[in-house]
Amino acid sequence: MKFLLGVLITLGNLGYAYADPESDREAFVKFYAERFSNVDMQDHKDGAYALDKAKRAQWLEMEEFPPYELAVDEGRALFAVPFSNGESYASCFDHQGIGVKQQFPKFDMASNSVITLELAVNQCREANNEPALDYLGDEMSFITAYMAFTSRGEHFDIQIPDAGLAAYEQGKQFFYERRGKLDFACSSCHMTAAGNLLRAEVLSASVGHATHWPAYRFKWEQVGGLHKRFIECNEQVGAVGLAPQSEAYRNLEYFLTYMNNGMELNGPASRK
Amino acid sequence: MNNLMILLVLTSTFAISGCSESQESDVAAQGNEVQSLIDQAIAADQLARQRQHAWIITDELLQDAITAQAANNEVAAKVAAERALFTANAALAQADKEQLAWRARVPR
Repeated sequence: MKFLLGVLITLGNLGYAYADPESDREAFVKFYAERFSNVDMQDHKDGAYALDKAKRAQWLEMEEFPPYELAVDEGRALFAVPFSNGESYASCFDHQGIGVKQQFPKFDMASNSVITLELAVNQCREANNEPALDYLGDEMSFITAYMAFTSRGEHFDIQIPDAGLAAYEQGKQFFYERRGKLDFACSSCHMTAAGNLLRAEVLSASVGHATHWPAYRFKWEQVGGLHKRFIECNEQVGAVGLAPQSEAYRNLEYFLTYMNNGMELNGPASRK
Repeated sequence: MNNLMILLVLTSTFAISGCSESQESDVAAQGNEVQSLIDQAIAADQLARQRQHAWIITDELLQDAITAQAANNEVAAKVAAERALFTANAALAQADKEQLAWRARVPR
């Protein structure tokens, strides 16, 4: 009897460990479809503004004069500036870097790691003997804001090859692990409590979390990337934030973006 | 009488100097204890960082302990160091627990 129980527990754990990403994604989407049965799945790309009519109305008014517009213009100009060797960002990406954000993050077999758009931008610079940009700096935000802008209307189609499964699983674990003094996981706020109020703020659903970055946050008074938000989220629950573009955050972005497969990109965006 | 006075003076001197030495050794022992607590808290916090589970408050408490120690406030330093060690160990306990607990939160 004990042996049988042991076998069943082992099989159960194997099932947990090796659930395939597509089953995960279907269950993830189903969770939000049931929780927010009156919200169209695609509307979650607008985050909390898909869940609260009054806040949505305010946000739409703000979007009439988008605060990220200058960042897109700056990014367009920076993107076109040739490197000192005569090459440019366009030479590093498919389609000259126009409308490619939906391909990121991607798993790179050669380095056996996840490559985000920000990392690809810096790899491009370093390959052309240019210094890497600060991941939390304005120049990186401007360039990625422009690249995101050119991908508006595209849909995420992230692929996870067998070699990328470990990175995906690590990102998944990070998303569901509680951390910090408050003992919160990403999923505590954005799954369990999604749609509820945290003080005056409505908590958004993770099913639209990857679509709109980089974003202008009024709290930041600038455009910033997804990893800046990861750091902020971790710190809000009392955990020490990790370095931007650290392996753990890139894996988290890989998992989260895969969960957003099929969602329309609408970045850059503005958020409170 | 003179001999008695000398004896009294000598006894008092020995008593006072003995007491002073005892106080100095108490302070030194307390200082060692605080330093040991700080070292243990730093080690536990480093482990928590490696496991991506460190808590912000541990670093704040460690800074408080180090600042109080530098100001020779051993009592405050000990309180802060003990709390830093507690929170660093709590972060490690959280990392241990979450190694498996996260799986129960995955929708299926």
